[in-house]
Parts: sequence; C-alpha cells; structure tokens
Amino acid sequence: MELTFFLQTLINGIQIGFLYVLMALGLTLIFGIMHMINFAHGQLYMLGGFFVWWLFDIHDVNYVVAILLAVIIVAAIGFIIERFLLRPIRGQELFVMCMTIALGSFFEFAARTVWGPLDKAIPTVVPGIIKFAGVAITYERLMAVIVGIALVIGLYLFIQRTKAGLAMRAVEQDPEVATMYGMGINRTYSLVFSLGALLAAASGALMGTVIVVNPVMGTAPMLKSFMIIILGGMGSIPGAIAGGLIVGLMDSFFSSLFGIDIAYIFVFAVAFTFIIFKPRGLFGRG
Amino acid sequence: MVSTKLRSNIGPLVAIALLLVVLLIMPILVSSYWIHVLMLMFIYGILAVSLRQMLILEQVSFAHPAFMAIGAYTSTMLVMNLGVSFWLTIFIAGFAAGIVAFLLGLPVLRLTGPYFFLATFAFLEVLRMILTHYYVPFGGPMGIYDIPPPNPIGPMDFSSISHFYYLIFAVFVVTLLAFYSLERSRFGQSWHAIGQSHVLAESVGVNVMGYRVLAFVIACFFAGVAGACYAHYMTHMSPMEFGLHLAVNCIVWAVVGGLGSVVGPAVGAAVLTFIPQVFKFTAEYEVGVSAVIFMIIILFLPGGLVSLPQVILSRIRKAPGIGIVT
Amino acid sequence: MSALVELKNITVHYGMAEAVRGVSLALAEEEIITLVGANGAGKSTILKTISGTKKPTAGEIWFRGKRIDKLSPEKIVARGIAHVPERRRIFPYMSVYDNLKTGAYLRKESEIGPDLENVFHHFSVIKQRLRQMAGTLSGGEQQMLAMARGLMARPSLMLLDEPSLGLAPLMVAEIGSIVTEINKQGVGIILVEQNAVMAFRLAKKAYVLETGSIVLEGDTVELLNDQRVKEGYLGI
Repeated sequence: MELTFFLQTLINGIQIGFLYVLMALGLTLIFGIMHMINFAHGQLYMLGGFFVWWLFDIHDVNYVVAILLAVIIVAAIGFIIERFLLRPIRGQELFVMCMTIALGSFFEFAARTVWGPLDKAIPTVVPGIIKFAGVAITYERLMAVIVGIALVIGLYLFIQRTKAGLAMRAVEQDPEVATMYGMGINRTYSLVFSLGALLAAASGALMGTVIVVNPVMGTAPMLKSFMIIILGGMGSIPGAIAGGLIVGLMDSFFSSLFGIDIAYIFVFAVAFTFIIFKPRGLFGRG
Repeated sequence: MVSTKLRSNIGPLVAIALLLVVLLIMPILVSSYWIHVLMLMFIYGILAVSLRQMLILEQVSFAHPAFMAIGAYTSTMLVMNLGVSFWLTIFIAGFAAGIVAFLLGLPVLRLTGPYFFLATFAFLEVLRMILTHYYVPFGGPMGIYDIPPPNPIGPMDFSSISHFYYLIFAVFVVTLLAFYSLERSRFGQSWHAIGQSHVLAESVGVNVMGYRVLAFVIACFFAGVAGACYAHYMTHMSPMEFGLHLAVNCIVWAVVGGLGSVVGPAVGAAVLTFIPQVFKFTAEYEVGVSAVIFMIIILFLPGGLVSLPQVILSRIRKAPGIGIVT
Repeated sequence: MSALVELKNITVHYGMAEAVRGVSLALAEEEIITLVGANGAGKSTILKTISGTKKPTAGEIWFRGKRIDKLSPEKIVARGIAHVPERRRIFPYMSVYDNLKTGAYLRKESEIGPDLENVFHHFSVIKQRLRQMAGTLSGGEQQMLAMARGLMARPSLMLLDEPSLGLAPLMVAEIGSIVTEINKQGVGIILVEQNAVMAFRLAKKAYVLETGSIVLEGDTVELLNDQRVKEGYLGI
C-alpha cells in the first residue's frame, strides 16, 4: 500500500471515528447508568443535523448559534422523553426498548413529514482544504473534529469535577447507596438522558455540516455506535473513545481495500465475537 | 357441577369454532387480494407467536428474520437445485433453522438482556450481508426469482391462491396448537419461572441454559418453516425482506398483541397488518400513527390488545353503582 | 428525655413475606443503642426504614419530633440521618476523596472543610489514601471509609449496619473506639451487630431481635447478666 493512500485512509478513519465517538459516548452513558439501550439515539443525531440546517439555512441564524441551539433543543427533547415516556415504565426492559424504538420511528416520520425526504446540504461556512504530506482534509472536517475533541474533554471534566458528574458516577456504581446520600435517581436519570441526547445531537450537527442531512441519516451511525460500545465496553467512556476510533479506522481501511459490504460484515463479526468472548469489551468493568 | 363448567367454557369455544369456519371459507367470501393479506397475517403471526417464546424468557431476539431467511433459502435451494420436494424441504427448512439456532444459542444464550439482544442483532446483520454479498449460491441483493410452488398433493395443485391459503392456514393452526400445548406443559411453567427470575430458578436447580436453548430451537424452527412457506408462495425473495424492519415488526406485533397469551402476538400481527390496508389513503401518516399507538399501548395497556376486554370489564366493575358481584 | 428518633410499631413486608413486626424503639439524643440478633432477624431492614430506602407497611417513625416514614431518602439524609450500609458499599470506582464528597453531596461545597478535617482526625488512614481508588482498599479501610462518608453528611444520627462483619479482631476494636469517639462528638448511633460482645460494650441500651420482633430490651449492663442473652448471644 502506498504511503499517501495509507495516510489518507488513516486520516479519514480518525475523522469519522471522532464523530462516531460523540454518538457512542451518549449511548454508552445512557446504557451504563440507566441500563437501557436508546433506540431513538440515531434519530436524536438526525434531529441535531436537521435543526442546524433549519436554523442556519432557512432562518439565517448565525452558524455557531445554530449549532448551539440545535443541540440544546434536542437535549430538551431528551429531557421530556425521559420524564414522561420512560419514567413510567422504568425497569421494564422490554417496554423501554419498545418505547425508544417507537420514538425513533416517530422522529424519522416527523422529520420526513415536516422537512421532506430529500437530502439537504448545509452550506459550507469555512471553505478550503488543508494539505500536507499528500493528504487532504477540508477545513470543515477539521473544525468538526476539533469541536468533537473539545466536547469529549468537556464531558470528561464534567463527569470528574462537578457535583452532577459525581452523582452520575455514584448512581452508576450503586444506585441504592447513592439515593441514601441524596443523589436521587430521578434527577440523575433526567440528566443522563438529556446529556446522551445532547451528545448525539452534537454529533449530528457536526456531521451534518460535513455531509448531508436527511431523515434516514440516523440509522446507520446508530448501528455503528452499538458496535462501538460493544467493542469498547458498554458504559465505559474510554471504551467509547477507543471503540469509536477503532471502528472508524476499521471502516475506513476495510472499505478502501475490500469494499463497503465486507467492511460491514467485518465490523459486525468482530462485535459478535466480542459479545460472546469479551462481553465487557475492552474497557468495561463490573 | 359438570354442567356449569361446560357452560362457562362453551362461550370462547363457540367463538373459536365460528372463527375457524369463517377462516376456512374465506377464499369464497373475499377477493384474492384480501386472501393475500390474510396469508401475510398468518405468516407474520407464526413469527410473532414463536418469538413470544423468547420474550417470555426475557431474551429479546432480533435474529428471528434471520431464521426465517435460513428456512426460506434452505427450502428454495434444495427444491430448485436438487429437486427435493417441498413437502420434505418444509421440514428440512425448520430443522436447518433449528440447528443453526442450537449452534448460535450455545454461546449466545448465556448472555442476558441487552447483551443477548445485541448479539442476535449482530448475527442478523452478518447473515443478511452474507446473503446479499454472495451472488453465487444466494442470488445476491436481488435474491432468487421463479421459486416453484409445492408439488401437487391430493386435490391441491397450487394453481390458485386458495391452495396456498389452506396450506399456510394449516401451518398457522399447527403452530398455535404447538405453542398452546407447550405453554400448558411442564416446559411452559419452567419457561415462565425462568422469565420471572432466572437467578431464582437456577437456585432451585432448574437447568436454565437447557430450557433457553430448547425454547430458542423451537422458536427458530417455526420461523424457518414460516420462511419456507413464504418463499414458495411469494416465488421471489431477497435478503432485504429479512432485515431490521421485520425484526422490529416481530417485536412490535408481539407486544401490541399481548404477551400474556399464546395467541396475543398473532392478534398483534393481524391487526397491525390489517390497519394499513384499511387506511390506504393515509399511507404517509401510517408510520407516525402506528408509532404513537404503540407508545400509548406501552404506557396504558401493557398487556396488549388481548388484555383489552379484561381491562374494560374491570373498569366497568369498579364503576360505582353497577353492583356486579365478582 | 426527648427522643432523637423513635419507632412506633413498625411492620415491614418484602412482597408477601413479613420481615419485621411491631417493632418499637427509641434513641435519646447522643446515645448509642444497639440492635442484635441472628442473620435475617430483620435488623438491617429496620435501619432501611429509618433511612427511607424501604418503606414500612405499618407504623410510624419520628425524628426530632417530626414524622419521617413517608419521606424520600434524599429528604431524610438532609435532616441529618446518615446510613452506613451493610458490607460497606463504598463506591469502588471512585477515589477515596470522591467517596467522601458523596457523603456531603447535599451540603455546600464551601462548608465541608471542617468535616474533612474531622474525618482525617478520626481515620488517619483515609488521609493517606485520599487519591486511591476506593475499591483497592482493604476491608477494614473500606469500613472506615464508609463511616467517614457517613460523617461527611454531618449527621445527628448515624445508622451503622454490621461494621465488624468480616474484619479481624484488631480492626474491630479500632472501629469500636472510633464509634465511641464519634458518639462523644454528639452523634447518636444505632448500631446493628451480630457481634453482640462488641455491641454490648459500646451501647447503653440494647434490643434483641428474633425473626422480626423484639424479644428482649433494656440497659446493656443488666442484659449482660441475663441468662438468655449470655447463652444465646454471648456464648457464655
């Protein structure tokens, strides 16, 4: 393999990987603390992208403000979902799964009905490409990755250094004792789900600016996110980061070398093997 | 004593008998379009009822369409490439699905909850991708065309749709009877106990893993049989039809219909297959409306549609002034 | 003598099974009382009803003149009741320092300084291991951490569930003296123990539980001479 080809594939893999990481982080937080799989995650990602397009392209809101607003709106949607649709059925795994499946289906339908089924492109704000060592990255993608990294760092600091983050960690490790000391489950679950939605939306907002936005854009990344958290360890943050990068790279290399189909099979086969032999993933614990 | 018991049982029995008669004479009553819809209801009903067996164990399998596909492709390839008779391949299809279920189940059924689910999901996708990618035995993404109908048996030569109808109806009834008897057997009791608490069941010496594998093999056997029927009726199939969409649907049918009884999921499958037909003109809104209905059922009618009569009855009884002594 | 906490006729069920029946007890301000009994006698359940993690099916619980049996655990700890659970149950994947902070979760960040000092004073080993992952501590150290965490809530009542479980005698003695020190600072303590010898040494009053009901109660000094207690619980 030529060096440039290798480097380009590597860079592409890392870019995509980072955006997967954001989404996987949301999913893994929700799974690790609330013990549920959020099947609406892909649609929250999609809504993030759509709201950016809607605010920026249709209503001429400032680009940065549009991204911030889009993310906040979807986080609020997440809050409402947890409070009114998930809390009543808390603990009933099958029903929770069905509820998020129904929600996902509904959001896809809503987006298609309100905005139409066609792709929407978000106009480029920072045109231009950076080139080095024969490898090319657009400024847009670079910015998306930088913002993504900033978010991951922000999340880490939030979880490790704030009271709310402390409550999240306590509820994850021992919910009964956490309640004994005032870190209530209700409030923590609301926070976690909203945070998960926020991360998915951020991923969608950043991805949307790089590629296009459409009502079905959420499903494939969500499936990839499942595979990521299996690899990395469900509920593990370093796992989501490592898993996201690994899957991004695997995707990139296998697609370039063997085609998309084989890449797909490979990722799923690896995930399957992990589930059977190492269900805790690379970094999972407990 | 004997006479009162007979009287209390006779209501539902009469209803079932009537329903059976109606279903049997359907081909005379309605057009072939509706016969087609009914057949789909039966096939989906088989899938939903068999999936329920796993849902009772708290193991949500996303791989059911994969086993349907295994049955469909096995039967098709045996008939088309080796000239084996459908009447044999329908069973081979079921056994093939059952064997794969056994092999898959051994490592995977050890897992619980989301881990099991994701494992079955991974399996579904891998299988589907393999069927899509390899043109040579499987026909690739376009699938297989010109699948022959079953060989003539007695008066049925499968030249008309009503022959297929009776075949699939028969398979459906057999499936229901099979699961009914399983439900009432000692297996059924053990399965329910494991579903309630597998930890508790294990502590009293129940072979949890053994029962899980058994349930999985049986459920997937029927999925395979349904797949074979589907393939030879539709005469064409492609891997796309056995994907995520169907996997989600099976779960939706089972939950909406109600997991409390064997027939519940079949009711769910029937209702959810029927409604879009009736509301054809609102096709675009169908998805959104179904999703909302699903959410409402989860929140307010968790026992599913089959629990509706009971819920209504207990509401009536609770209402003041009715004075019905229960 | 006004009671700090009082239980009136408490009955608790787990599903259909009755775990505790008709239990009444009282603790005066700054007292130590103990609940002893065999495994499964219902002692831990009683503590859980006080801290709010398990709701009683019948009866009342009063704390400082107000009823608390219907309150959520968050509200109860806010009023000054800290529960140190059975088997320590510290948060294993957090540092010792973070564990302490969870104890003080409901309090203002700026006010916890003196409490940290207090905790370091009682438990010197905690100060040494502040940044260590709590799950890597030894059994005795974890027990101390669990008690320290409780102290961080600045409680007026501490519920101690079997602190001696699984600990070597030397460690048990050390924990015992710490309990006395904490009590001297003004914290009332309800001590649940299978180790009746230790419990009787520390507490002023004792309640003996069997299969969910109190069979014996009184001053520990007197009970030490009671034949039933001597044979059944003190192994004499």
